[in-house]
Amino acid sequence: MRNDRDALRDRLGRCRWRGSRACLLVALLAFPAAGRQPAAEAVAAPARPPLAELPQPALETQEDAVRGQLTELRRQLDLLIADPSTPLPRLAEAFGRLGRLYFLYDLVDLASIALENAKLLAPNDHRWPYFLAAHQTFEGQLEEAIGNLERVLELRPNDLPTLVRLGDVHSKRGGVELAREFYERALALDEDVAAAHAGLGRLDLEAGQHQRAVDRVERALELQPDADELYHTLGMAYRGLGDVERAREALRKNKHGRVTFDDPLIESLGLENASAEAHIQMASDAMRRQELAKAVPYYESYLELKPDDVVALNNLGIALLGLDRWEEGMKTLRRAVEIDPNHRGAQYSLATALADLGRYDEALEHYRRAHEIDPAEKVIHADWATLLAKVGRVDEAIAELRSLLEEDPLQDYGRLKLGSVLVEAGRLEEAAQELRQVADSGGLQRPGRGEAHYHLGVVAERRGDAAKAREHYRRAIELAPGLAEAQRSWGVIRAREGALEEAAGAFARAVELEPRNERYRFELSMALLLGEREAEARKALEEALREFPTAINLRHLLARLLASASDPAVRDGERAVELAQGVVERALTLDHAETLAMALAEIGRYDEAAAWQRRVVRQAGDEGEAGGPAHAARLERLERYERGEPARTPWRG
Amino acid sequence: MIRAVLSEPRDMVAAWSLGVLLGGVIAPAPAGAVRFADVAERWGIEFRHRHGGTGEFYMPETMGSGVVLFDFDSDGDLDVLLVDSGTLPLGSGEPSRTALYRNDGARFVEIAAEAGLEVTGYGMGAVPGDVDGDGDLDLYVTAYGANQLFLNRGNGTFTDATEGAGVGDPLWSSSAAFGDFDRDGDLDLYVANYVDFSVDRNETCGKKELGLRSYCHPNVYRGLPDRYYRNRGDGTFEDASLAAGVGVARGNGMGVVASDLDDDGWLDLYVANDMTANLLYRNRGDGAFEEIAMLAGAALSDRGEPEAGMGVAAEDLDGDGRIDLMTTHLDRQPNALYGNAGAGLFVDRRFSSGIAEPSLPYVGFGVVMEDLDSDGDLDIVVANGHIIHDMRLVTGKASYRQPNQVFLNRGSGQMVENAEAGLSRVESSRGLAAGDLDGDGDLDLVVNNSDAAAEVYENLGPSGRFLRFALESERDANRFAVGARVEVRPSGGKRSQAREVRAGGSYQSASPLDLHFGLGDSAAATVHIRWPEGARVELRDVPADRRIVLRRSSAP
Repeated sequence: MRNDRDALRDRLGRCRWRGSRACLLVALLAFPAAGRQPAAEAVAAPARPPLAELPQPALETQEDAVRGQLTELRRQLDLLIADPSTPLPRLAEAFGRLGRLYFLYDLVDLASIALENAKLLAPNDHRWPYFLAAHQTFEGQLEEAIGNLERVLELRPNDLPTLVRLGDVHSKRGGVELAREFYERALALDEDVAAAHAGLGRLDLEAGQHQRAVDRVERALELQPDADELYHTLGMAYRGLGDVERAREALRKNKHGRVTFDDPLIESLGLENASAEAHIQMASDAMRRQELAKAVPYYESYLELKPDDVVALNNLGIALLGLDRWEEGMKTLRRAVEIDPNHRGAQYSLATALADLGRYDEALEHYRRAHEIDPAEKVIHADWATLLAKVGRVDEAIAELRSLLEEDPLQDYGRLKLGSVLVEAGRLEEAAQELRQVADSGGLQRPGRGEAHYHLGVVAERRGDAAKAREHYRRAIELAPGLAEAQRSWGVIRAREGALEEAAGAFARAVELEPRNERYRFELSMALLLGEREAEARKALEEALREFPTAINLRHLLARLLASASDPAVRDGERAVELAQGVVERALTLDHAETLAMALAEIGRYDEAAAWQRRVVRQAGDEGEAGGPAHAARLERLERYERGEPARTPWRG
Repeated sequence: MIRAVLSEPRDMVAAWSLGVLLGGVIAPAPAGAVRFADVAERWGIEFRHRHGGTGEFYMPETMGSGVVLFDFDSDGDLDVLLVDSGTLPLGSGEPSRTALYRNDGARFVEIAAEAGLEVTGYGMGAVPGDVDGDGDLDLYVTAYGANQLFLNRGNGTFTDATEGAGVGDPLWSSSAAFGDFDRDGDLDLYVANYVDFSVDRNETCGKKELGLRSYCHPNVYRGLPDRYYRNRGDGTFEDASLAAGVGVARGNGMGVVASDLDDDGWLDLYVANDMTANLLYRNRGDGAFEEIAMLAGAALSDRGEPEAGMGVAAEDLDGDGRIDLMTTHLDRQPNALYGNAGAGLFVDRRFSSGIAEPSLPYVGFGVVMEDLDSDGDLDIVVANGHIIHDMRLVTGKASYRQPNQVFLNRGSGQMVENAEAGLSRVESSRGLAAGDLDGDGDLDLVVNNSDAAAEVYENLGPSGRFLRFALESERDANRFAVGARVEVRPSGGKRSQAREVRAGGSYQSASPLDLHFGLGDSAAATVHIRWPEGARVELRDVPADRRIVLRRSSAP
């Protein structure tokens, strides 16, 4: 006799996508799991309550896989309905399973009926009112959703997802007090539920309790750092407190990452989704929200179903590169190009990635190919030409960009690139002329115009016009807050003007945008040091060293800070000595030696400190420094060491 | 110098509406709540909008159109303009048959052709304003294709002055608003532009694999910059978009409203964008605007995401003296209410105000905030309708034709839906405006529907007492005092109501320039007026139930 296992194997054999997760699920779903036969089957089935008729769904707009999945489940359900001996729990399970899939595929009326039937058949099963509530919330039937969620709470009084959902639904209905009550009940059970803190934060914001909102939302962000949609609430709360700068900074961080909570029932639905379209849709939505980490698994599961979809491969490649998963990203893009060498997007993505990796020759080849495929695409043409300039083929680059602009004089992207190439070539007058056109036109989005202002700032700086440079950099960060180099330039300007707090903010943004940039990290640390924010400077330097463990300037700066900080909580002589010795071994300079001396003095090794300092003084004298204020300061420190005293002179660059 | 001209009390002009009452079919309504009756046919407004769709799924087919209530012939009653779209590509079929209905007292008579109103583009919306300062209302029509400016000749006809005036924006425009933004005494113009769709570049959208084609999501195309036209004072305009700082941001502009949101005497602008952040341009008072929506808290949803902004309204809904903002959205995306908290900050009150939940099943377009029952606070009407005809392509329970909604104010901005208001026709609605078409002292409604007959609703009451103001200025070319602010405190009442004379709002539409104030039971009120150039006047003990013409003479 054939058993379920044989039947399942048969079914898998017929599946179009053998081996895929979706295929396995379709097959599994069509069978009641072994060992999960309800005990009720053994006894006489109680009378079946009157059930609502479940119409046949219109499936013509569904994909084949979904159609197959739903048709099979419906067939199974109809068999169970037709059999009067079917135990009620088993029938409930079949209705519920189909109902939640109808919900998943947005067949909303059918979902309602199926889930209501399941609820009727198994009134003590919390899953069916829960799915109904989720469905009703989605459809805006909030009152009904509350009824079902309350039923879940009757069955499971401490169900966290239900408490959070009740908070959310009451909040949407304007039931502030009830919403607050449910969020607080959730937190009483588990104080680390980010979604409940977030919900309370939103309620506080609307009630004008801005500081409380800040505290709540910051706690939620601590618990779920990727829920960056909360920066919107945080920004508004800071705004309410009158702190515009912090508000601005918070708002900039909103990349639309959603706050979530553990919701096993709903999460299980995602796994059952057999629709390739749904996967690609979810991937595209995540990409649009710049949630690259979320997009990747959706693309991967889609590609399991459609492995040769070049558009998906290209997008997956872009997402992987954005996540710094270079090896996988490059492999994916190469596969896309291999499948369709005439795919403009894939060639372009690969070229851009290669350029970022510094593999310019290969990058040029792929840019050339992309340009060949679509000569009318100006962005490809402009990027290709820009790379030509980067490899020293400046005249060729300028000629390409000029030809592009001849074809389309309104092509602001090309003009921007021409401007930047001309800046690098030192042709400042021509550069300024092109860049001004871009900055003043409405042809590019704000970041493009911001970039033009940034280059105009560079032009002005090179011409010695500090005021103009300042204005351009200011406009650049206003229009293109995501342009790290503009943030950095603005930081330098503000630091020169003594506005160290603002400078540190700008450098911090540059670091956030390009965490792998050593110079930005050094400048941030310097701005914090000069602003006497020693603890923050130490933290920034420790983080920087984790990223660049061998960077000598960062090690030296940290050593000096640890040896000279005015705050005893920041000072750490032992570590300062360790760092300074390493620095001196690699590069013996006067400054490095002085830092070592200072560190040694900090831990009471005054003789060694004095010995190092004497070498410094002697060497500095030989270099003609004697008589100057710097030399006097060195001598003073020497005297201190000789007297058995530390000398804590912070580094000033 | 101010002169108040008192017109007839309401009782004397109510006879006409009585006739309608006798014959109208009235839906049952909660006791005491305002009710409406569909009177389109009876009043002679038998307009049918056409989108001309031929199966090519040109995106503009989903968008139109608007309605304008204005007194174009200066005879003291409201006339109705209903914009028609036409056929795409332009010239390939029936052109726009935009209709102008003249109010002849007992009926409305369609006279667009004889009035010289020939819309050449694919019609979207319209807004009235006296751009040449000659004391009658001109008309600006937005379109896919060049927009048009029709100057009112003062004899019941219009002349197309687009070319000479320099306002024929060729981009796809949705809504527009007039206002004296630079306070030089004449009306400037803001035009909200949508996306760079063209019939020559009509992308294929929908479920391609299943062969089900549909209209595209706006993000398939690129958002367009809006336009700001400064009136030179000689009947021509200059495109001052870039100089004023409004031409650089690209958004999928749908609705726009001009309002002095920070109460500094300078008109600001708020633009509802479809799936891009809304824009709030604070008027700096030096000829330029500063875009502050994000920091002001009026750019995004409560979750920090751009929404499908369609229509927009700006009024003091909660009676705190500050102008709040409302935007309508797609289904499953609750309509928004941004409560003005002062100091340039708006607080998202969509949920606590009660407008969010009832809006979830519907795609909202037109929106007006008016005191429908004249009880002393502003109510809300929303015109709903889906974009996609083929519901197989739409998720959830959505339907193409959707009911319009009335929300009554319980006071302090707490809204409750009145599902029994009698907005009985269910179509896919777009433009919406409110005005007293029958002169009986309460506000009636006109709705323009996509590819369907328009709806006209008479307000059957019950209604409290009221005051209505028509502002006229002889001091400068802004003859209808667009931007003036009027505050009314009913006698014995504790709360003032603040409103502004406004040209343009809702969705592609415009309600009258008159200001209607409900007084509840009060027999009189104290009235404060701030004229556009800043002069302030107070009138005490103004008796109720009147339309009052407030005229500011040319004398200093």
